[in-house]
Amino acid sequence: MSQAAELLLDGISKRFGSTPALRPLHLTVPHGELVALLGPSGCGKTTTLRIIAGFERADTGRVMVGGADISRLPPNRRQLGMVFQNYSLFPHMTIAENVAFGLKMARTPKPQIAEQVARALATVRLTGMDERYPNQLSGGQQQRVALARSLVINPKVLLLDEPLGALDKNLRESMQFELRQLQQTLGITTVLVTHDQEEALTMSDHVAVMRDGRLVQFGAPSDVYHRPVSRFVAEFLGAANVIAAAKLRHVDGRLEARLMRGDATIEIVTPAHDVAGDRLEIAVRPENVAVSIAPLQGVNSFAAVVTGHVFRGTHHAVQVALAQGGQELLAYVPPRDVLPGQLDAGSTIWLRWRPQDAVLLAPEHEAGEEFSP
Amino acid sequence: MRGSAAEQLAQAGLIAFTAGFFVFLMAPILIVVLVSFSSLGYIAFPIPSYTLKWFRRVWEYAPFLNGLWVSIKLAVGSTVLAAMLGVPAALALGRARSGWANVLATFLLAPLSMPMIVLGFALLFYLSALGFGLSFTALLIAHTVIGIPYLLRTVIGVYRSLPPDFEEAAAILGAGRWRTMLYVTLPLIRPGVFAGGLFAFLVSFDNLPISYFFGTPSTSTLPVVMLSYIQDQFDPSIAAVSTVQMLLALVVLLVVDRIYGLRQLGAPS
Repeated sequence: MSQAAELLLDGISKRFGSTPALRPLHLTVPHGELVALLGPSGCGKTTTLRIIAGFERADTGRVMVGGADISRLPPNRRQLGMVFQNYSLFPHMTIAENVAFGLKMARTPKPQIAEQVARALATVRLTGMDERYPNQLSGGQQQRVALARSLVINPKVLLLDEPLGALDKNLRESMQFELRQLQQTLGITTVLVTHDQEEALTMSDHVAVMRDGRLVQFGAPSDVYHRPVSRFVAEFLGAANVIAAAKLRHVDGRLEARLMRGDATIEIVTPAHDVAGDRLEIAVRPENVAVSIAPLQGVNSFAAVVTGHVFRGTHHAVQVALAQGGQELLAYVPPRDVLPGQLDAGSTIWLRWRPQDAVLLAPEHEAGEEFSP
Repeated sequence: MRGSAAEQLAQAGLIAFTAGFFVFLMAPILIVVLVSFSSLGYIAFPIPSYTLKWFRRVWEYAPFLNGLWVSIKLAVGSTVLAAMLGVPAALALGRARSGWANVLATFLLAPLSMPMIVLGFALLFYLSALGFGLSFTALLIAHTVIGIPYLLRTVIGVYRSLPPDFEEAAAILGAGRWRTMLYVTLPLIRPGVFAGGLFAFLVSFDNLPISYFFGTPSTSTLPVVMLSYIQDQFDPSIAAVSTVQMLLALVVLLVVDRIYGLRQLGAPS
């Protein structure tokens, strides 16, 4: 039934004029998996998607689908499905005609078209909408039609270009689950382009974090979230406290370091080969910082003064400065742990985090540095 | 919602201004129509009583009818030709990134900014040199040249306002260039083709300066015949033929509206 196939990007790169939009990129999307290309605008994720689709031609490298090189094929012969950011439903065609378009182009016999269109519309829960026009549908419905239109041709790979970007927040969240479920049920190889870290983490098997035209980290969502390789990844995938420190010693997989600001030491768990140089950057997620009113002792425990706090529904975001040296940190505290007045500015509290919850970050790439394949 | 007194005053002022403007624009046209029913033997207003004799005179005066027939053939023919040449040009130029595209577009739009007399004069010599002489073909070519800018402008405008996503969506769904053009691009630029075609038709239909140079008994358009008629006669039949001409233009507008809907012209949804 499904003819989904593995997608392999073999060193594709692209320049627009003298600006490198994409540096040689190697990436594999295994059969049936969803990989998210995540990054800020201008990071090369859209260029990558357009090269896969065939709208742009890569300067170097190959695009392989199921072992076949499709780099030289025009978009209409690549047998891919794509959902565009604004859906791009043909406004002059009914919903049924939109969904049938790909089948018509493939010269599918008419009775078969009707049957497959009905089945595709049922899959996205839009039965009975056949005769409407796209502008008579809500954003979420249009999104579903776009999905049905791209799936009905049974593509080898599905490309999603910010597919939920135009929807409001609640709808976006429910569509994330729906889309992911559908993708898993159909077992279709999918590439998702997004700048929304939450979307990438929710929907994908693997996340490829991109910046300035290069891949900076590839891994499972929990990996890239909990073990970011650089300050950029740590901060792009959510809030992070980045602490500058100097290396003291490294024993048995435990690194001891001294804060650059203030006379205090911190400990993190990390393998020796990660520790390059003496000046280090360490990241701790705010939700991993435990807060206490009573004094805390032991490794990674610090007294701090509250400088500000906001209630965010699921948690209190508390801004503190360490009593020793004034290093600023952010901690998320569950509402049930807080009594009124305890987190007011000026209060003294204690913080602690587990050594394995802190991550040693690699030094950042210098901007403009060339990356040779 | 009810606005403040100042807003109501401004609203009333705007309505008065618009009404006044319409009277100023429409009154001369209305008077021409009224005069065509005048029983007087010369053009004067107000008119003492009504008659249809000037319309009968138009019907019986062969040059008027011949001219009308030439004008209609010419307007339809040149509009179709201008569309066949202008639409592909607009599609090619609309998305072109090269600087030459702008040069070429400006060149194709040039007839708009050239005095028609100069253009007519130049075309007369040029087409004669090419061997077309004073023929209907020469007239058709000349009118096509002045029709192209109208189609080009509106179609480029509509095409540029379409995101390229539609064509890319068609491509990824398996449509090659020709089928993308046929099923997606052409239907989407249709408002521009209709609007531009309507302009080209109307501009050709009452064009005088170009047609004037190509005047022979077999190739005189209605405006040319009308001009030579009023050079030695000044009876209301000229008002009657004007009324007929306006009526035809109105019919064209209504037909386009019927097929397409004028409200949609130039504003693709």
